[in-house]
Amino acid sequence: MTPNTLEQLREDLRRVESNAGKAWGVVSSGREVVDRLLPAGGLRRGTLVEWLASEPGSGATTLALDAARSAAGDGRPMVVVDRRGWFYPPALSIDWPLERLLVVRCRRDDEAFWACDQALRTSGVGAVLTQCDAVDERRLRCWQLAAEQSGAVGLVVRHLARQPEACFSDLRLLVAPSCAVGRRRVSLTLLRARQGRPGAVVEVALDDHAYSLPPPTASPRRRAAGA
Amino acid sequence: MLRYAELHCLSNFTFLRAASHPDELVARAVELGYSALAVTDRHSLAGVVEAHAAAKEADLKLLIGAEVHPSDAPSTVLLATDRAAYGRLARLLTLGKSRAPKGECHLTFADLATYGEGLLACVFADPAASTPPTVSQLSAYRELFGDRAYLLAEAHCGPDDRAWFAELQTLSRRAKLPLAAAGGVYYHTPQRRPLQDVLTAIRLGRPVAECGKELFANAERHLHAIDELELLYESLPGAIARSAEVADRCRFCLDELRYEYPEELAPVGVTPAEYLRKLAWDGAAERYPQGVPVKVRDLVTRELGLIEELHYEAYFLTVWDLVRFARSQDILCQGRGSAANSAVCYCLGVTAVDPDRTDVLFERFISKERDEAPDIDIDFEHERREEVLQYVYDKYGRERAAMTGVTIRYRTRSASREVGKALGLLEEQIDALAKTFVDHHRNPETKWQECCQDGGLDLDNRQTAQFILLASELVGFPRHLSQHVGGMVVSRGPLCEMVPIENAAMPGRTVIEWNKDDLDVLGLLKVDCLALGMLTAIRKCFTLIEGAGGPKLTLADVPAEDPAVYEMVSRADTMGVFQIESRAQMSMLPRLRPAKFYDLVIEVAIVRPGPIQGNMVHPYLRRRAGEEPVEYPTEEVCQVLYKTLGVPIFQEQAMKLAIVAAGFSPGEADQLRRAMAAWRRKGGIDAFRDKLLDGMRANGISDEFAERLYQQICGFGEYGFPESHAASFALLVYVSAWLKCHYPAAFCAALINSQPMGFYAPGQLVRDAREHGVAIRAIDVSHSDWDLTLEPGDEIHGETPAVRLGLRLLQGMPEAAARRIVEARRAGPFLSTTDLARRADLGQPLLLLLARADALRLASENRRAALWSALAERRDRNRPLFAELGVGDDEPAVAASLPPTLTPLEEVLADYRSAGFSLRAHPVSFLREQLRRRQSLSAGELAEHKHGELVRTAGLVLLRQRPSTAKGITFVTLEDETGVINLVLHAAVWQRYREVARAAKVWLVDGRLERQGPIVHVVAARLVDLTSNLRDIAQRSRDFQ
Amino acid sequence: MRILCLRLRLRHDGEPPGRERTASLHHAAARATVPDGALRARLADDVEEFSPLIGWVGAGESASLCLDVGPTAHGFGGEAALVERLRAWTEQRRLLATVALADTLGAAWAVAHCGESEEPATWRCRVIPPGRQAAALATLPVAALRLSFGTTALLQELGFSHIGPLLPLPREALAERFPPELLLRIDQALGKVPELFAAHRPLPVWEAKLAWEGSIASAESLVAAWQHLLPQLLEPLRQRGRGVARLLAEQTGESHTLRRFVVGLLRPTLDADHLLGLLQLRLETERLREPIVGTRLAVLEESPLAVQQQVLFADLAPPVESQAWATLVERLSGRLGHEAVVRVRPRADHQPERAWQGVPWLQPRETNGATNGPVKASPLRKRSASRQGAPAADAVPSHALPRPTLLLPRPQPIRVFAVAPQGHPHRFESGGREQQVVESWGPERLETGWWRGPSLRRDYFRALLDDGRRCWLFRELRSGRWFLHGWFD
Repeated sequence: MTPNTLEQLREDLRRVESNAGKAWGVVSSGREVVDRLLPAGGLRRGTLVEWLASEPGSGATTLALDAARSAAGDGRPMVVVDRRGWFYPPALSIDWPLERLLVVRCRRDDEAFWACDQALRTSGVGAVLTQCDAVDERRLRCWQLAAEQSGAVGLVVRHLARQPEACFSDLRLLVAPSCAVGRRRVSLTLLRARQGRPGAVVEVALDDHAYSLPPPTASPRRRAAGA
Repeated sequence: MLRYAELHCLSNFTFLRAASHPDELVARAVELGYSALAVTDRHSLAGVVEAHAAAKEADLKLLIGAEVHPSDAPSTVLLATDRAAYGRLARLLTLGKSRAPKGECHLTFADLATYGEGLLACVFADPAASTPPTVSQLSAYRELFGDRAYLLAEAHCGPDDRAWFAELQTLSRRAKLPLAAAGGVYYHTPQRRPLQDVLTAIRLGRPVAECGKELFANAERHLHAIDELELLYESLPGAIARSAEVADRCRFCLDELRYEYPEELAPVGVTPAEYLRKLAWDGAAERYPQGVPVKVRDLVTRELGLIEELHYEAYFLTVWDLVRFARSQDILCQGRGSAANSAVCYCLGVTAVDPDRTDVLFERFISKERDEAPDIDIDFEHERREEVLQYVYDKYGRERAAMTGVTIRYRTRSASREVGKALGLLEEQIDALAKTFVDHHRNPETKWQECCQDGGLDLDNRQTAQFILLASELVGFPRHLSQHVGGMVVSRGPLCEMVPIENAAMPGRTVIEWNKDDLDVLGLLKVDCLALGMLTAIRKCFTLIEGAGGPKLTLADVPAEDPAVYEMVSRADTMGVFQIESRAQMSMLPRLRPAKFYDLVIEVAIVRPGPIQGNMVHPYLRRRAGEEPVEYPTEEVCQVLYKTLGVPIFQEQAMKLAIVAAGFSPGEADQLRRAMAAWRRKGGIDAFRDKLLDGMRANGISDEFAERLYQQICGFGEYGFPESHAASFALLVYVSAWLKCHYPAAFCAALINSQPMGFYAPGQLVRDAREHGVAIRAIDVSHSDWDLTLEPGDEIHGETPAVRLGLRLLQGMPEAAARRIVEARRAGPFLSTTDLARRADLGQPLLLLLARADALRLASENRRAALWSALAERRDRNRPLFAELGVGDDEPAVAASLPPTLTPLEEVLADYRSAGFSLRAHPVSFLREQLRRRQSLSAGELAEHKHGELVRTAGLVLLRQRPSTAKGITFVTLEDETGVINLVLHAAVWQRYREVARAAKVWLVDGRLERQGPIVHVVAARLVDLTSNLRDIAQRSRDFQ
Repeated sequence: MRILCLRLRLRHDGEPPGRERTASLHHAAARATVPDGALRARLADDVEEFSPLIGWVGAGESASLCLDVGPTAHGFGGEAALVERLRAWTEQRRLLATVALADTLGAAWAVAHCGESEEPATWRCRVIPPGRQAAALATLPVAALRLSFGTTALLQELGFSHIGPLLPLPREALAERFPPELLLRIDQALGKVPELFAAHRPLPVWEAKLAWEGSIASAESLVAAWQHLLPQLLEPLRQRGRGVARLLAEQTGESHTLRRFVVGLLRPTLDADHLLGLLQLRLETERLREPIVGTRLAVLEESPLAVQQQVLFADLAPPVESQAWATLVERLSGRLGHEAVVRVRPRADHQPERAWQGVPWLQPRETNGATNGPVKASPLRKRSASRQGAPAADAVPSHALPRPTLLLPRPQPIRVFAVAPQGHPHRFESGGREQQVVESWGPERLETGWWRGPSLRRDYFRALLDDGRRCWLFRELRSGRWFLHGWFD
């Protein structure tokens, strides 16, 4: 059995499992190495993805943004729900489709929850990204249901310490930066996936250099480690 | 310490981009110990001469180059290694400019291939502004320039210099271009950064706050200290050293550009020297038919010797050629300038000042020490100068002749306006400021604060402080290039290999990038072909005299030393006479009482801002009047100053004094002259102070005398007059005075026909002529030409012809229409307005203009009736004929119901409106009764009052003058029906009555009378506006009729 | 027609009308000003009680309020009574008025502006009896005819200071010599040719109101009221194929306070339920502060339904289900406020905090999509072709800059230990925690904003910390103090 047919089987299974009974398809995470880590070979539309990291500065937002842009391909709009007011668009590369980006600035958690919920349940939305530590299981479940309705990908960047026991997300990933000098690297651990083996690790090269910056759509270097 | 040469540095001749003067950059580079500095302006070599002069003095190696931006390749600095390469660079820039609108330059990489030989290409890129060059682009440079191509490593604390340098290193390796460190410099110190931002804002035409990323991110584009550079380029070993190596490859110096004079001036087979000698002696024989005086023969011999020694024959032949051409075309001209008042020039016909009659100062003629071309300006009739210029282009071709450039610089007003806009001040605020700046065009810093306060800015405000700082820094910055009024440059080889040429704004003209000073520095040939209105007037006067049956005259035919002329001049009866018609001159004449030609030379030179500021006028006058003894500390000083009674009046005297009294070498004396010319702008004369004073002390001259001489020399400033100029001018003074004295009618007509020129408006000239017994006849379509003409006199005026005023006096009258009127009149007199309109093809606006001017006296003598009938002449004259008949039908009825004719005052005011004066009466005469009741004196009555008396007077304002030297004093001339009244307004009075002083047309003045000999001034203390009184009278007289 | 022309000036003295002494009158008049645009509109609104046909005639200094009182005078008990009422009206409003009443606009204007005295009085009124305008005009200066400056000057130049002498002249003679305006104005003033003036009328506003007998305090009642009002409001729009683009809801409280809020729409709609939903969302955040006695809904802006759709969504590719997206934007903006739901517009500014701007998705139509304001180019610079196509300052991409994904709104002061005084950071202390800097890149020097105030001068460093995180630090060059400004998260 080739890996492909195996993958095909898994996908079929997932479709049967899905509550909504709908399969929205799979999109790339924006990086080939990450895609290879993921059981579905990418992110499944209509699901939530959690990105866990210890503190700001790890690179989780960068990875989530890449995923968001990929999920918001084909002219779909994307929404960033910015609870803290820290989101800094100038970091986005030049070919980010700013005209399809909507930023919601919220002063309170409940506003942010509501805004995410509204955005996730709107059909046609490509991706909804939020950084929210205060989110709880109940809320995640609501979001998951909302996403299933619309086919949007929900990307939640959260603090590691607030990891709830139950997981309603399709994927839960741990982002850990490397302190090695040189090219910027983070290791990404698959903590949980609906299907697939948790514990797989991959190393991703990030770049915040100004020069020789490959456009984000180009294939990232094949330097997948381990697994 | 490492050797470092800055290879990429822009001066403020990269207009509106870079923010330091070339000399500032040079001075800073020297201070920092650079081994060389390249001045590489964007597509321009305009700044290199200033840099060259500064570098030469500071003994810094200067590289000549330019920043070039090909449309299809990365930008590069091109540096000239030798003279030939420099020529190609100049050619390249000329080519680029010829393709582009003014101020731009369009080049491609293919052009670099054509002209790149011998040039070093230093490719540069700014990571913040553009994408880095590709390897293939760089390789193209490598292929084209071989080992003459470099890649410049420039970093300005950008987002990631480390990565940038790494990238550059990769590029350098792959394209095989060696890396050299460079600064991409825009200013000499970081303090200039705000000004650079302002320049960017001006260039973009929006406030600094809206310029965003067009501004540089930081202040790093300055000349860095070498130890800073070492840190900066740590990761690029060898880059700094390479900059010096690149500089070492450049061996070109601007001094190599000298002596490239045209060759074809002498006939084949004759050397220029032989030819000049022949022309000079032939001329001498012609000038002195009775035999050349010994003095002149000696001078000519000496001068020719010197000319030959210094190889200036070509220059003199060029000048001679221009004068010869002008003569052949009947264009009046005269030479002046240092070299002009020489015996040779007199013999060549360049000047008309007989060396036998005046002292020619040989020292001011070309000298061996002075490394500069001789200086001759030629004045031509202003209306015909263009013919001479085109002759030069025709003779030498556009490759070899062009106009000298002029660097237009920011002045107080333009600087404050642009900085105001850049800082986002409100439009009204900027206007208010600009208005207050009218009053001072020279700007000591404190004046700025005063002006800002006047303009309503709060001095404690941060923005105001910034404004003052930036605007005063901007003053003196080059703003754009324009063309010099008359300087022509002619060269042996193609001119565009010497300096880039661009098309001037005026069609048919080409301009080089360098100005007069630049040419001076390099000692390049230039001839100033200037336009002089007085020459036009004199020629026209000669023509009028001849046309009226008088003799045929030329400049040389005017009888010399006519006592009647000196008598008239001593009376200050000199309105319209060249140079001595200004109020300052007129007030001096009765005291100076010139009696011979040399007195006129002194008169011309002494009433100038320089001598006035140097406090030379009064000592001279006192000595001339015998009120003060004339003493000389030494015999040498006496030799220099005896002609001017011990007071240095001419530039030559200052120089010569420095030589004989202070022990200067002639070369140093010339440096002093340059310093004098520039010290107001740049300072730097103090360096000479000690040397002068010490030198004089050593020669036994008292400190007091020495200090006074020093002050006088400073006073010359930029206004000092060389004696040679003064002598040439004095000749025109004499000729014009002679014409005024003997042919007042022709003189008056010729002056007005040559307008605009001189101090006085046609109204005053007409009045002056009338007072000299000339009959003046009104403008009339039946008699007037475009120009003023002479008509036979009448019984009262006898022989003197009368002047018929011309249509040119009417405001808004086009010359072509006037010519049509004159042409149509040849066929017979005009019968009616309609007849005139049809035959001369005049539209209604012109008919109305003529009617209002009372020049349409066909139907009736009544101005209003003429207007009424002109109004019926519709715009379209194609309408059927019966309509004309129709008008005729109702004409009597309408005429009967028309309001009454104008009152005399209304007539006068209407005259003023259309021609600026009236032949009927003076407007003030209508106020006379009222004025008498207010005990106001007429101009005539004032003359009878004593010095110091309090008086009241009134008149029409003719002139408001504020000479820059007069410490805020304004001179105002009023006029009434009896004559003119001279007012002096101190700054405080002007300020207090600002509204009246600026705008009112008729003033009532209270003040104190001051009398110096026959000259009377009123020092005003209080002003009242009478303009409305005049209007009221006009109103009332109409209402009551 | 009977035209009343009011030449009005605002008084700027402190004295109540009718009490000033004659001596101070001139003074007061000197400080009087002509009503400006906004006030003109208000006065026109106010004066409606006197006439159905009202308009401002003329511009600037000579602007005058004209009313046709022909149809209404009898209602006031005759012209004299009407004029008295008008006098009270002007006094209430502290206006100086010179007033004339005549058969024609031309005559009334002429008398009001060029009557006996030029000085504005508190109140001056002249009534020209019907048919008597020719006599009234004869003694007035030619300027009273409202001619162009050129024609007036020409008449004066010919000696025609007053209108009288012009009237008997043959019409052909005048027609031949003067622009047509002369005869036209004479004929209009005499009433031979009618003269119309542009009437001031308030813009049609679609609105629906409801007032309660007593007051209500529950949100449900208010929503019910809206539910009732909305169909009324939408009907006229529906008939014309237009939809609501901005909707105002205004509640009158018991104490007569007005509370208003505006609901904006990304695309115009006629869907009453949708509008009600948005209003309700808004009510959740706005709350009722006191019982209300009435509510009013008004359409502030309307747009064609079909056209609007195409324009707005031109930039969105097909997969966006535009209706759903519009609803999302409207709902988010409705509840969180327009300012909280933004598009990202990059700004060309070196200062990191100013490098972008959030522009509300929902904006009043006129400013939507406009940049920071048009860049004014001086004519001199316009000539240069190369600059013409240059992008606006805003459009400069910031792609080359390494910028953090998270930026602290306020730089956070930290203690940094550097190796050299000007050098890179070595370790730093933040929030009581010490962190080692493993590697750093920089400095990126930013010096900018000197025109805004104290110039900003910073050396930025990107730093890799010992736990692998990356942050953005800067040293303030003037003080040497360090700040943490962002995270490369």
